[in-house]
Amino acid sequence: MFLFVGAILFKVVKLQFFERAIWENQAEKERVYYKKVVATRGSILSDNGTIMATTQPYFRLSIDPSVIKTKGDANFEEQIDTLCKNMAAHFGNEEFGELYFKEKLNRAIEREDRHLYLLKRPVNFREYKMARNWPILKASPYKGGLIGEKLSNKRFYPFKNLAKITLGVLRDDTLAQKGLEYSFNKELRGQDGQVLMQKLGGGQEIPLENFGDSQAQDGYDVVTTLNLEIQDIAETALKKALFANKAKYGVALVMEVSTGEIKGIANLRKSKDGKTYFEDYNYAVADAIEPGSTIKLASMIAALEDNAVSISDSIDTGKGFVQFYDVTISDHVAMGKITYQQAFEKSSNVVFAKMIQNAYKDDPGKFISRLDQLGLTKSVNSQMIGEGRPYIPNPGDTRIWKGTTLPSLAIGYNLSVTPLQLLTLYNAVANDGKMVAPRFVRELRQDSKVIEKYGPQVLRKQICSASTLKTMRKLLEGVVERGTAENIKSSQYAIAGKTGTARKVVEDKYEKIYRASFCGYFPADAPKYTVFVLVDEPSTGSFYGSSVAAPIFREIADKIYAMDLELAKNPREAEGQSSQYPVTRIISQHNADQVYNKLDISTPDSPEAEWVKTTRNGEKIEYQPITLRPGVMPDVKGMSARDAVNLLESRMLKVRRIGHGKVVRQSVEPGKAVGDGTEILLEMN
Amino acid sequence: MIAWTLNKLKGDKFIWLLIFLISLISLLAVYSSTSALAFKLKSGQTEYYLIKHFLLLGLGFGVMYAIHLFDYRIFAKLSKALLYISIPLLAYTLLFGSNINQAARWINIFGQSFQPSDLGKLALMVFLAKILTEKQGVIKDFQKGFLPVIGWVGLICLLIAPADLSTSAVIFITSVTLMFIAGVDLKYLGILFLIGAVSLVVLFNTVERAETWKQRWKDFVERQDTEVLIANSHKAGNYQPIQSNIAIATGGFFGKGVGKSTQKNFLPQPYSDYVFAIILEEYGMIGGIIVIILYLLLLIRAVGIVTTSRTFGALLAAGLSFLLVIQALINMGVTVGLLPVTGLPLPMLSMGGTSILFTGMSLGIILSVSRGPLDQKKNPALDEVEPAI
Repeated sequence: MFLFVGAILFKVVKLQFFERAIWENQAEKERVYYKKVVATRGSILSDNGTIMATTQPYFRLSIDPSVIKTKGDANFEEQIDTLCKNMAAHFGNEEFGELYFKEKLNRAIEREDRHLYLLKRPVNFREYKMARNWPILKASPYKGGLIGEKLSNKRFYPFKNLAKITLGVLRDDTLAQKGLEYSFNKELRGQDGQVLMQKLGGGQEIPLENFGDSQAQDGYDVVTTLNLEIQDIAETALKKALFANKAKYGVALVMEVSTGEIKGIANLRKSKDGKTYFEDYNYAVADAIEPGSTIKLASMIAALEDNAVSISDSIDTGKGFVQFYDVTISDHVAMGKITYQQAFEKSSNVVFAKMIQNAYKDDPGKFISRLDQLGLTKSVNSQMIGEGRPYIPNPGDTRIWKGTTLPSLAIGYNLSVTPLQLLTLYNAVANDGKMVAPRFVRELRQDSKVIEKYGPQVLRKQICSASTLKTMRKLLEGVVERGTAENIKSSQYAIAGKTGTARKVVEDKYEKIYRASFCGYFPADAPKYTVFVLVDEPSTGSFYGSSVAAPIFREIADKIYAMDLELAKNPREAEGQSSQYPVTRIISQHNADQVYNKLDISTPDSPEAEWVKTTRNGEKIEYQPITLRPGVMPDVKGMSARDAVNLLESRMLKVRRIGHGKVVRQSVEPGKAVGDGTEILLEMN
Repeated sequence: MIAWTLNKLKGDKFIWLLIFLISLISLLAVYSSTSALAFKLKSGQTEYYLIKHFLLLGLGFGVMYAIHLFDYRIFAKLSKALLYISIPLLAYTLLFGSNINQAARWINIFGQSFQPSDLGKLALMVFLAKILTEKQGVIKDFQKGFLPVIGWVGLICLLIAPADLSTSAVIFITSVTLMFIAGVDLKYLGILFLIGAVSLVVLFNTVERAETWKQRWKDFVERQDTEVLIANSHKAGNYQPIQSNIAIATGGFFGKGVGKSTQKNFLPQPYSDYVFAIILEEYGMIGGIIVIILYLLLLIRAVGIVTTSRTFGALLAAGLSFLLVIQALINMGVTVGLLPVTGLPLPMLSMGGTSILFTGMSLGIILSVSRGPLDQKKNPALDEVEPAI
C-alpha cells in the first residue's frame, strides 16, 4: 500500500518536474477561447413585408464521432445507411456519393475522432435544419448529433438593384456604410454572442458548448415604407427618361401625402461608359442643390402670407428681363403684362424677382423666416443618416448677402435644398398645410412581433394660412391646366405641380447646362401622392422642367393611378357606375383574379378561359368565358390598355393607341371581319 | 463553543479532526471545480454547488454523529439483515439499473439516484468483521473458516463486477486484506487470488461490458508512453488522461492557487472523479501530499484504535478504513495515470450524495468502535458479539 502511495508520488513528480514543458505545450495547443457568434442581421422589408434585403446564416456541419454509440443499437447500420443516402442526395455529387460518406463516417467512428466535418462547404439555414432531422444527426451534440457552427452571414438583395442605394451598402456582408443598412445598423445588427471553442491538433476546433447557448441576439427586421411596385414604376420611368435625355443623373421620389411615407425613391447615375444607369449615391436625400423655379412655391406663399401681392394683380414684365446691379434676370420669352397667377403658371422669373425684391428689400430677414416657416432652412429628419444640409444665406452676413441675393432667392438660386426637402414642402401643401417628415421606416419587427413603430412625424402643423394654401393649390393646378406643364395634363385625374429649370454653376459661373425638375401631387382634388422628379444635365437639346422632368412625373403618376385601386375608385369624372366592384367588359382571367384578390373579393371557380367578361351578381363576381372567333373583331371597349393590346396583338392585329386608361373607342366595330395585320386604332379616355 | 462541540463528540478526537480537515479541503476543491458547471446550469450562481455540497457534508456529519452514538456491536446484529437487503438490490440494479456512462450502477429510490454497491460494500465489511471474529477458533480451517467467508465475498463481488469492476476490485482487495489480518491461512489467500484471476478472465470473455474493459486496458497500456499519448490526443479515450496530466503538470510544487484551476473547464466531473487533479493543480504537490497523509493517518489511526486485534471492533474499523483508503488510492492512481480510467469518487472529498452518505456511515462506525463497547450491563445481547473488555 505504501508502495502504491510512493508510485503516486513518483508519477506526480514525473509530471511536474520532468514532463512539465510537454504538458504546458499540450495545454497551449488545446487552448480554449471564446469565439464570436455573429448575430443574424435583420431583414429589410417592403411596406407589405416582401424581403428586400436579407441575411442568410451559413453553417459548417460537423459531428463528434467518438460519442456515437455503435454497440447496443440494433438499428445503427440502418441509420447510418439512411444518413449517408440523405447526405449523398442533398450534398453529394458523382464523386462524393453515399459510399464516400459512409466510409468517411465509419472511419472516424472507428478511430474515435472527436471531430469530423461532414461537408467541406458551408450550408444555408434551410439545409442545416433539414440535416438536423436525419438519423444520428438528430441526437444531441453530446451523443454524436449535428454541431452547426455558424459562419459569416451573407447579405442578399432579392431585387438586385431596386432601391439599391436607399437600402444601403453592407461591405463584406458586415460593415454597414450607406442607406438604411447604415441608418438602422444598430437595430439590424443585433447582439453578437460567444461560444467556448477548443483547439484540437491539426488546426481543428470544436465548440465546447452548444451554439444555442451563445446568447447571440439576432437583429430586428426593418419594415420600410417602400412599395415594390411604386419603386419599380419610379425607377423604370426615370431610367427610360435618363436614357432618352442622355442625362448625367436623375432622381424620382414618391411620397404618400397623409403619412409622409416614401413609397419609391430612385437615384440613377450614368455609368462611366455611358451605357447604363445605376444607383451609387443618394442624391434625393444627401445632395442639396439650387432648386430653380420649384422654389417659387415658397416665394409665392411668403408674398401671399405677407399680403405683398394678390394673385389677380397685374404686373408688366417689360421686355422680359430685369436688371439688379450686375445681374440680369430674364424670362425665356417676354410675357408682357400678366397677373401674378399667370406669372406662377408660366414661371416668370422677372415677376418673382421683382415681387420678392419689392416686398422684402427693407427686411430680408423676414423672407428668410418665411423660408424657415416652410421648413427649408433645416434638414427634414427623415430617419436616414447623412441627410444633406440646406443652405440659405444669412442677411446679416455682408460678405455673402448682396443686393442681388433676394431676387436670386426668389427664383431658386443662391440657396440649396435637398430633393427630399422640396418634396416635403410640396407634400405639406398637398396635405392641407400639415408638414409631415418623410419616412423610410415604418416599424421594427422580430419575427412577427412589432418591436417599435415609427408613426408619422409632424414637422409643422400648419405651414401657412388656409386661404394662402387654397390659393397655392389653385396656382399649382393652373401650372398643369394651362401653364408650363400643360403638356402633362391628364383627362383621368388632375395634377398639381411646378416645373423647375435651373442652370448649373461650373467654376463659379452659371453655364448653359441645366437641371430639369418637376414637383407635384395627384390627384389634385384629393392628393394621395407627391412626386419629385429631377433630371441632371439633359443633353439631347431639350432641358426644360416641362419637357424633360414633367413627363416622367406623368408616367409615374399614370402607372400608380392605374395600379392603385383606391384611386381608381374615384376617377376624375364620375362615370356613374352603380357597382362598388369594378366590372369590365373583357379582361384576361389572370388579371381579373389579381384585381379581385387585391380587393379581397372572392373570385368564382370559373371555367378555364383566357378571356372573361366579369359581371356582378349580387355580392358575387361572375366570370363569363369569352370565345373569340378568328378573323372577327372583338369588343375591347372598357378594357385596360394592356389587356386590349395583348388581346388584339395575340390575334395578329396591329394596334395604335391614343391616350391612357381604358378603351373608349375602337376604329373597327365589334363583329366586323378583320384580316391579319390590320391596324386598329384605340382611343383611351 | 469549541469546548461544547468537543464535549458532544464522542470517540477518537484525532479521527474527528482528520475528517474535519478533509471536509474543509473538499469544500474548497468542490467550490472551485463546480464554477464551470454553475455557469452552465445555474446561470453563474457559483455558490449554488458550494451550498449544496456544504449541506451534503452537513448531512454526512449528521449521519456520522448519529451512528457513532451507538454501541458498535449493534452493527454486527444488523449486518446480516443489511446484506440480505443489498443482494436483491444489487441484482435488481444489474438487470434494470439506469445506464450512466455505459454502466448499470444506479437505481432510483424515491426519485433519488442511488448506488446499491455503496450499501453492499458497507454491509459486507460489517458482516465480514462479524463472521471472521466468530470463526477465530476455526480460522485456519478451509471448510469451516475459509469457505463461508469467501462465499459471501465472492457473491457480492460477482454481483457488482459486471457493471462496476473497480468497486468490485476495491471490495475484493479490502476483503482479502481483512482476512489476512483476521488470520486466514496465506495458502488459501493464494488460492483466492488464483480464483480471482480466473474469474477475471472468465468475466473478460463473457460479460458484454468486457469490451469496454479490454479497450480501457489497451488504451491504458498505450498511454503510459507520453509521446504516444500526445500523438493520439484526438482519441476520445485519451482526453481525460491528457487533461488530468496537464492539470497536475501545470500545478507545480506549490500549485496555481485557490480557484485558479483552468483544467476544471475541461476535465469531466472535476468535482468528483478528478477532484484530486484539481487539488494538485491548485495546491500543487504540497496539497496532494497533505491529502495523502490525511488519508494514511486516518487508516493508521483507525487500525490502531483497538489495541487487541482480531476482535470484532478491530476488524470492523480496519475493514472500513481500508475500504475508504484503498478507494481513495485507486482514485488517485487513476488521476495520475497509474491505473485505467474508472468512475470511483474520492471518499469524503468528491461531491456526490450517496458517496458522502455512506462514507459518513463508515466513519460513524469507525468512531463508534473508537469509543469502545458501551456499558455492557445494559446490553447483554451484545456481549454475544464481543465481550466488553
